[in-house]
Amino acid sequence: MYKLHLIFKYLRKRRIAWVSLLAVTLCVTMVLVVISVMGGWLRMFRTSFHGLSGDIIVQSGSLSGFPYYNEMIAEIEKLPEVTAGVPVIQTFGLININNRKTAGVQVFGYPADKIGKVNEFPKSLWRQYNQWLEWADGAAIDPRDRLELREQYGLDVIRPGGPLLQLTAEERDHLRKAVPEATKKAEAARQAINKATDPAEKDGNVHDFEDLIWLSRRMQELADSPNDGIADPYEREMIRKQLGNIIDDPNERLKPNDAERAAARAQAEKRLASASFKPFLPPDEYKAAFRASNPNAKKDFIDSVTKFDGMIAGTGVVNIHKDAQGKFVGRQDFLYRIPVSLTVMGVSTTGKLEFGGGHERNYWISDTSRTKVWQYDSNTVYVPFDVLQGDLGMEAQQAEQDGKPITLPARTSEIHIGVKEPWHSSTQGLIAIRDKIKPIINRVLEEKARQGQPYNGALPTVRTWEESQAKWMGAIEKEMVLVTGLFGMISVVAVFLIFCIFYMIVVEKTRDIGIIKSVGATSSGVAGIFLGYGAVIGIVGSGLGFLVGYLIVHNINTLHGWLGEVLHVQVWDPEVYAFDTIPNTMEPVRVAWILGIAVIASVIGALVPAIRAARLNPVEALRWE
Amino acid sequence: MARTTPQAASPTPPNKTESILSARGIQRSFRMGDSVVQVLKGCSLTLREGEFVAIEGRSGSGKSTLLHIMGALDECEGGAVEFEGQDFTQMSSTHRSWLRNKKFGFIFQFYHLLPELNVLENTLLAAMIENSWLSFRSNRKALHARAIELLEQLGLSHRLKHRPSQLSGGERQRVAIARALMNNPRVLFADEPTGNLDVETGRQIMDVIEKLHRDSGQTIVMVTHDRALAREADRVLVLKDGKLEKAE
Ligand SMILES: Nc1ncnc2c1ncn2[C@@H]1O[C@H](COP(=O)(O)OP(=O)(O)OP(=O)(O)O)[C@@H](O)[C@H]1O
Ligand SMILES: [Mg+2]
Repeated sequence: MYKLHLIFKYLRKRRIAWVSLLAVTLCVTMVLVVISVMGGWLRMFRTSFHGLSGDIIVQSGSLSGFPYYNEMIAEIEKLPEVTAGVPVIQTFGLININNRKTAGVQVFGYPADKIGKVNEFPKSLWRQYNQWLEWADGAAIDPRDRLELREQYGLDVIRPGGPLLQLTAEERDHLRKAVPEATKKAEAARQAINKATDPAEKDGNVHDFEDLIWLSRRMQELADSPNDGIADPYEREMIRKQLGNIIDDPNERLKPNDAERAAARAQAEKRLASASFKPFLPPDEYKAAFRASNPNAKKDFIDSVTKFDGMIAGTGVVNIHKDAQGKFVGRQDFLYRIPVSLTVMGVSTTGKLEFGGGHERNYWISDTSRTKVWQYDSNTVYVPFDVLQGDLGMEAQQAEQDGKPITLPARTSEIHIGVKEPWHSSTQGLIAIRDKIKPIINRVLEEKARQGQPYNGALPTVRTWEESQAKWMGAIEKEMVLVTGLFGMISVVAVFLIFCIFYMIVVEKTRDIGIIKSVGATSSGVAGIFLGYGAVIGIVGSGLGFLVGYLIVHNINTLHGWLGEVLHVQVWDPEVYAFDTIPNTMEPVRVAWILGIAVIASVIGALVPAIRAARLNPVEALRWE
Repeated sequence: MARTTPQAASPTPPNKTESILSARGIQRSFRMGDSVVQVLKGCSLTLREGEFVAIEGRSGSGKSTLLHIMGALDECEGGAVEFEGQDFTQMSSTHRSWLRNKKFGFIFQFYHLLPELNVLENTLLAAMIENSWLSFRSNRKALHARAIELLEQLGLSHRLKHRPSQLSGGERQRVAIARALMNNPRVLFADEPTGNLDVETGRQIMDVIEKLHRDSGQTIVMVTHDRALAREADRVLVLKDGKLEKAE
């Protein structure tokens, strides 16, 4: 009884003990945050990389690639554990987006119909998948999208945008009443132009004036024409911006109803089925828009333009990014309606550049991909496999050797192989499958050599996805161990601090210990006071540490954004850490371990002082001054 | 040094009843740097139920040391102490702790109260140590009643929630007495209980001790160097040159 009582009293009266409490709290917070962020980072890394590559990858040793991949895939797909094998070309190129941006990019050639069988690439697409999910979750569908959904996808449940945006009688009334105010504002803006001295300010005023003059006329028009009283989203927003909420928010009007959401959800799932997955197919509407915006162009030119293939751009390539509030910005309207050119350089089997240095081709941007792995999203574009293969000179070719015509086989740079569960999620399982695939590759090449078509280039390597990312992941794993070790060592300081503070308290309380013993406390009882004291500090300290750590980890991206805004520091640079968000989850088992260790460490810190207190001779303790 | 050194001259009269505490040939020395100071050179004393014994002696003669040994707070180097027929040296340290808790009560010259606890809590200390948290909870009422009764008798009922630092010396010593009596000790040890007090207050404390002895038959061993105070006792012994002698 007296132990609890005294622990409580000492905790309240000895302020110095709070320092050790604080030390425990800080250490627990620190270790929790570091472990959670690093561990979450590693986990994100694994999931994303695994999601982006096949389970097993056959990879060429050189840019010129390796041949007979179709024969290899046919053999590999005979393995019962394998779901599919997909050839992938990886190379580098130069992209020019409508002369707005020219940049070097990594280029992947994906066979559209098969890639979804070996990785999660389709789920990274915006137009083909994620946008559907957003609609399914209730995001407004704007009129142009509604048109496309109705006409291109034949979704009749999607209501046309026009009627949804039609003005009500009440709104028309509001507009009519607001016309004089708009005119007055326009007049005020006109006068402001004359007053402004700064050229930039003047420009802004001119802009305002033009907007308002146009708006006042348009409002009158809208108010007067009951049959054609549709305000498009832009007009509605402009009126609301200039004159307040006198008419409805277009986004509210355009929100999908339940039937529309269900249709969007169904379509999102359907997207992923390979038959309807056509990510490289630019919508007709875009071509039509191009045609409409270039009315004077020759028909030949228009025809050739509308035949362009589609390209999927990583979000970073087209400058779609998160702003400080974490919202995506930069998904501009014109993005999917402009042609871009991509120049790639083919490498022949002899390792020489083909086509004298580059092959240029025009594409539409048919979609954007956000894999969340910054390395990919920042500078990767995806194009159809066969198109890229042709541009690189890797398709089957006729040639002459010693005067005789021969066929050079088509080449690829990689084969990505998907594997069924349970091998899919097991490192050992994948290694076993890998060892089955290796001999198949060799067998195909030997067979071809026997038929007189030897391949003399570098042999392709067969690796599991973990092996091919080993450099990255090994480095992260080591870094995590290192950082955890370092912070663990710092925590030893906390244990030492507890030791010192407790020792101080024991020395200071020597006489009290003598008193307690003279009234009959045993040595173990006295030791119990200080061990209990340490345990209480450990428990309360790690409890508080957990609380603070939890709050920090769960709000780490907000905190980071705030740091960036207020102090202009960006600790988490996506360029370095590969992800554009900081991991914010905690693993319960790890947390339990850390908290347990913190409590034990606090008790250990209190152990020596406790033993000293227990050993004190009561008479000498009483004589202590 | 042999524990069983026979004692030639015992100052204890042999004819009274029921000895509860007996010390035989107690020896104790202290190391002071290189030299060893033999403080107790064979002290013997038998304490009977209900007896009030005063031990007198000059400062530094070893009175406190003897008291600590008899109260199981310190250990002797030669000789033996028996309580109710049991030898201290044969007991575990837990057993001796139990004796200090249940059978003995101590009053010190410098009060020795715990500064963090209030008057009531200081009084309850022995009970807190004796009981587990649960049994203290369940006996709380009775224990509090006992402590408050003691404090009332000592005239401290209005000071229950005060801290020792807010009390006068006399009041502190009365709290110490209440604490010592909490568990109804069979023997009360008092080491110069008035040594730190003025004459008037010392007188009041002596009255309390005397009354305890007279009214409830409390067995008391008191150390003092004040001959006048020692007179109150049934029996006065003098510690001189490491030995106990009967006062003349
Ligand atoms: N722990 C110790 N270490 C060294 N010497 C000690 C120790 N305890 C007591 N002494 C010595 O033993 C002698 C007796 O001490 P003790 O406290 O018993 O005397 P006392 O008779 O109670 O004196 P006082 O009347 O001043 O209280 C003294 O000389 C003291 O210096
Ligand atoms: Mg003394």
